[in-house]
Amino acid sequence: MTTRLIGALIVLVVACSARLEAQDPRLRSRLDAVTVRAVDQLTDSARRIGLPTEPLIQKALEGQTKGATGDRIAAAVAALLGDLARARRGLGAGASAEELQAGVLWLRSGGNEAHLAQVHRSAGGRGVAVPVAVAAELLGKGWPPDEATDALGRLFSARLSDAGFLSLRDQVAAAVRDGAGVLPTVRAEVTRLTVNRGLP
Amino acid sequence: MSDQQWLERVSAELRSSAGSDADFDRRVLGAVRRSVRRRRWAGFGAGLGVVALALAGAAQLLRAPAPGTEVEFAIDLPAASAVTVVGDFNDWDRARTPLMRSADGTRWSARVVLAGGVYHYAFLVDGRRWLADPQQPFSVDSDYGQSVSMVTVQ
Repeated sequence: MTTRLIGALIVLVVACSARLEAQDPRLRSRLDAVTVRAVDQLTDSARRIGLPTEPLIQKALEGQTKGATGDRIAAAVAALLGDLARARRGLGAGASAEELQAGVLWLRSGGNEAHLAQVHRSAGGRGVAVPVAVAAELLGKGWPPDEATDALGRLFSARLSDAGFLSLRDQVAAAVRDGAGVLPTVRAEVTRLTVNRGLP
Repeated sequence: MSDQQWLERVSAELRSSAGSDADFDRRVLGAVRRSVRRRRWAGFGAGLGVVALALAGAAQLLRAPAPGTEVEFAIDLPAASAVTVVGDFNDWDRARTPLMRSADGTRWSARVVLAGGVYHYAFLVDGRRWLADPQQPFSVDSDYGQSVSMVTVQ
């Protein structure tokens, strides 16, 4: 009898804490009730299909801080939910929250799901959050997505580490600050990093 | 031994010892069956409890802070009287991460430890003006009208 009671209580506590988690206190304290309900429904949907909820909550909080209306906040969160789902279609069901966020950046910078799927395949199981985020930033500066996808595959083959990708990004950023164009710099860096390692 | 086997064995034992008293048999077997049901429910409850505890423990582990990287946010704004960095690492809270003015009064900076991931942020100057990080050549359009900068942490 006692064991059953303890078991039931534990289940009840876990269920209640899961429900409380669904109603994020940060949203309740900063948004009006209607917007909280709208965002809650979207985060519940994300949770049900296994997508991360924290980016959605952050998107809502960003809107509140910037004085956006409730409708605009709900629309921004819904758009992000859709993009997270698209990113997962490209990067696969096993993609981490960080990889999905990088995937969203990629999609919003001109890339598509097919590119992400190709990146996922060529990664051969290594994490792609940093490479995809770095490449997405460069897409936003005019690097063509097809070329970037191909380059990522070559850089994976060259076993470029996450630190190497961040360094590539910093090299390009420094060159841009010095007045160089993004594309010639990216191409030169990718060539240097792959040719020096015996790759075409 | 399965519950069914155990029940049959106990029944056979009872039949042999209690003779032909059918009512006695029925009452005893009823009590035994209730006992078996109780044992099953107790086992089920305990199993659920163990599973719930394991899930709660796993959730705690997942929430444990990951080792982070210290990132410096800095901007040159000699004319500003207050600068904060606001982003998805601090819940877009205007007050949580104020920047400190340098001794010569020109530069504002703050150091924040971030776990691996991609972060969006912007500077809020004097509580009303949003600025993307001028030291970061890469920024994205926010859904809310202003550009935000990005930092990727390994």
